[in-house]
Amino acid sequence: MYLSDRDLQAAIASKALIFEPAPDRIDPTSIDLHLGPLAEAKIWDIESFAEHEASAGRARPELRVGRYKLVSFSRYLMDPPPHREGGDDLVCRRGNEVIVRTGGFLLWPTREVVGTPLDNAQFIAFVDGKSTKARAGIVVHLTAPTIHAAWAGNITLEIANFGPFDLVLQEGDVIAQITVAKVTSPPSRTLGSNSITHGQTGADGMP
Amino acid sequence: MPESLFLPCQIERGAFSSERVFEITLADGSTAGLANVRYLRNESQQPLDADSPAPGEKIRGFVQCHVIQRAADGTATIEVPSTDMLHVPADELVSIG
Repeated sequence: MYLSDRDLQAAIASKALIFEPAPDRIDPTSIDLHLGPLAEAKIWDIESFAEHEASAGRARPELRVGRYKLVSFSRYLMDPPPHREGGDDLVCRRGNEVIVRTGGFLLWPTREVVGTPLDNAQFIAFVDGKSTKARAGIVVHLTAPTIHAAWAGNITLEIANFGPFDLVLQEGDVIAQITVAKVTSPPSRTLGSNSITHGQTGADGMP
Repeated sequence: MPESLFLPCQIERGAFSSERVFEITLADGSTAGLANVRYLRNESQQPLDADSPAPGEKIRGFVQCHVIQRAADGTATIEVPSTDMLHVPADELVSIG
């Protein structure tokens, strides 16, 4: 059962739903999410990853999706490079803007902390794009939209440009929203199974 | 409802300001995970400051865990953020109000 605006408001007021800072407005069945500080926008440092792969004897970098460990792989996140006239970076930074060209991909956490308390979690939430923005070709969650019950934090948006335009993003832009549903009962397991991030270090800590 | 306690760990900054990497020493090695700052405490058992730890610094602290089961041999099966279930000495677990 999805929550209506009245139920969303009541859930936030009772702290059963964590949404910080409090929303300026609540739509009929959703609440907007804003891009967080510009410094939080990150891209993957493919060159460093390729160097690591080359040192392991692999001429072409490969990421073993079923086995890689995000906790160590996160070292390859970096700030987008500065914009260069005529440059071909798929994601770059120009002043207080981030330009995402067709095929570009970046991570950018939301300003808001969203989720449910560890104890007696009653809700599950889903991150989705905004239909008005989607037509430009922007994707904001790339298959991992679920904020599981008993987890709360800033939501790291996985942003990609599948459209034909160069997209310009800024801190505070509304490009995503959440909807919230009630779970049938609070989950018996909480912390270990519901994070948006996963990873244990391997013998060498590498992916 | 599982018992919620804290386990000693080492903490360093993650890629994002709200994320930290925590490392737990186990009997047979160590394990690491990523967690939102709200699930971590510093050595004084207080919430982490926004700029703590400093980049490149590793500090001692605590990560929140849920106790799944306590065994007669003094160990506990716990969950911590973003990792599989762990077996730790139960007397290492700390209650932080």
